Amino acid sequence: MPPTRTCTMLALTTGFLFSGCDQGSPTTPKTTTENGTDTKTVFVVNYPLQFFVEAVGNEPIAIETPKLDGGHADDFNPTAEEIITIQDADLILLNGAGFSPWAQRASLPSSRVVVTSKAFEDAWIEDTTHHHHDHDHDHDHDDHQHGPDGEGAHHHGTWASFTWLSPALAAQQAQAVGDAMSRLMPEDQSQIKSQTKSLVEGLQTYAARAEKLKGANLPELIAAEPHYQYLQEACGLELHDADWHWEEPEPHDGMKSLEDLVEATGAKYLIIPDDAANLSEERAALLRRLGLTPVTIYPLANTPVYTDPKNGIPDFMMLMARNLENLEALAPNQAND
Amino acid sequence: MTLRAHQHATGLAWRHLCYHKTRSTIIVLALAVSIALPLVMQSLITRGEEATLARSTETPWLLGAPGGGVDLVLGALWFLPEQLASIPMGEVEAIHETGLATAIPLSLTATASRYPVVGTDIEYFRFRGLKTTTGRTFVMPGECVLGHQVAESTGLSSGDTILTDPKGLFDIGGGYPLRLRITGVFGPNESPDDSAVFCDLRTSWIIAGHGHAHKAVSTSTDPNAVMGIQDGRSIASSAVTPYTELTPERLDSVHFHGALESLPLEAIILLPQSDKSGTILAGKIDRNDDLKLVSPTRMIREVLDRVFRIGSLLAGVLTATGIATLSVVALVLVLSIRLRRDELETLRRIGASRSATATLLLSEVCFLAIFAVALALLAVWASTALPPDLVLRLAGS
Repeated sequence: MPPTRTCTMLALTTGFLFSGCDQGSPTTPKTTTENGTDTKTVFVVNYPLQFFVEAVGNEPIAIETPKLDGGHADDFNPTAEEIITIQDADLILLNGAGFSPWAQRASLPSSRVVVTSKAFEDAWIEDTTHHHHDHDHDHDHDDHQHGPDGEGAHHHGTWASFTWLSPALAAQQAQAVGDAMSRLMPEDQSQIKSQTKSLVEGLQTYAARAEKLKGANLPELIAAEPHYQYLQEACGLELHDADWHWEEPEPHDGMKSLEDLVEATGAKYLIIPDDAANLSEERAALLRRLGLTPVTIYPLANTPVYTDPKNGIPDFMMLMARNLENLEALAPNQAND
Repeated sequence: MTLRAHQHATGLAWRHLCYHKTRSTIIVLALAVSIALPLVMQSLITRGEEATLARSTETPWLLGAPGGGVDLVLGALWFLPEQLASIPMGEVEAIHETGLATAIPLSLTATASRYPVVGTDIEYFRFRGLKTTTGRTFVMPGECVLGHQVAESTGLSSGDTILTDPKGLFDIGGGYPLRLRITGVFGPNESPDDSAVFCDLRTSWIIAGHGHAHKAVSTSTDPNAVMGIQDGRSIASSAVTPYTELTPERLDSVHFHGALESLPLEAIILLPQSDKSGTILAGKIDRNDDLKLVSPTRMIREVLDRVFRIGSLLAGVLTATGIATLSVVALVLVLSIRLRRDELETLRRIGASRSATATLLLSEVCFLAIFAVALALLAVWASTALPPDLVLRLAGS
């Protein structure tokens, strides 16, 4: 039986409403059972990992998620008390690829930490944009070495971290989660393995669809936010990052960068992380002025909290499918249909 | 002879002992020491054996560099200042990847206020059942938690700081003393954990000089900070001094001389998932010449056999000494009766029967014996306040 989701969907509305979900304090388990003594606690840093745990795990599992207060999962910066709570979890699932910089600094129990993207570390993509939602960050990162012989030479690089947007990499992460859950709950190993297998197979189907898009001759795209490097790699997209912070006021909204990019590339499509229906009239008018058609690709780092009039609450797999459908719709043969 | 006469004789004996206070005290002390020493020694041996074995049986396996197994066990379990060779941190991850055991790393090179600084993983506290009674455990490099005994003897608590001890005056290559922020104090655990300072592994490596944090290397902030540029990378000069305290703001500038996987550990505690996992893992490790797997229980039994065989011999010697002391005391009493011949004759002449005289003398011996035994038992009881693993601690100091 899959774990029961008890996250209160406070923002349920009719129609689509996509927003970050404050998933409660890490001290508040997302799932519980009546027999609390055997409940295994799993801390996850983002929604894809939460979904994988729910998909492969059996009761009793308590899933703990970052307290986001409306922020982005990749900007989560836990307090000392929150780290103490995370330290107590039976399994700590990190995304890797620099998704949780706090985890590099925090003291976590190495035996209970699983970096789900570790298996494809070589495929991590260096982030040349190094975008942060908070603009008051002051990083003293510098490349240097001590002495001419290079003692202590080191380099502070940053990685693109939304690895799951590549379905093939998401499948590897799901496998890592399944393996970790099997070790955590050896008594349910066979069931977890079988559920992991079906999840991985589902994601591999998506990976095949993404691979197919490589030859689909898709038009040039502009990304409103710099989260799509792995999707770009998986689908062979010709993607330009506008770093358009559409949630932020001028002059931090990157409007100039977007205008320059449209002029330079002649791109007609803008990838946005939300549904086009949720664009403000002002934003929609702006896109019309620039001749851009919005294409929704859900980043999925945060738990989606919205309802689909047809399907209810879509999950990770449904939204990944929708991402691919939205890209497939841009293929010239599709446009001609 | 009436009961009253016996009471009078006993009273007279008490008065006599009180009158000769010095002599009585010396005899009581001599007797007490003779009785107490073998008992205290035996009690310490038994408790020490139990405590030592308990600590070692809690720890199924220890992994370290090839070398003395006993040193590894004493260093990793009792934090004694053994000179241990190191193994790379990558071994911890390699063990976790097998899924056969939980590996708890230990870095044991530093001290603070002469107490061992144990760089480890949060898992160690769960494994040893250590809970903070004040504050919290550490959550980042630069923080530490004190063992109960350390907090009591130094008077430090959460919110204070403790400075690590420099390795040596001429240890130029070593790390700078680091000021650690105390975030909590563990409750009493009746183990060597009470006398240690615990911190994150990275803190321990920084103390040992394997990493550091400092200001950004830039000619704009300090022209002396940069020697030059090589391959687009600034070459920091020795004018760049590391921070002596790690704060949350400075953590981003922490960096190590090499990959974390290559940094040294003195020991790894291995907790196999099952007996079968332990056997498989032991087989794998045995094939690696760069590692040494030790069963602390087996190693400690060997140590105990040697240490406590000497202890038993010592207890035997003390028993023989005690018998000799008792003989001397008996002789002293016999001689004192001879010296008191006139006094006893006077007693006989004023009507004291032979049995009353015997009661008098026997009462004196009994009083002395009772006080000596009481004092000896008190010493044995007091010895229980000593740490059970005193023998090992003394060996390490």
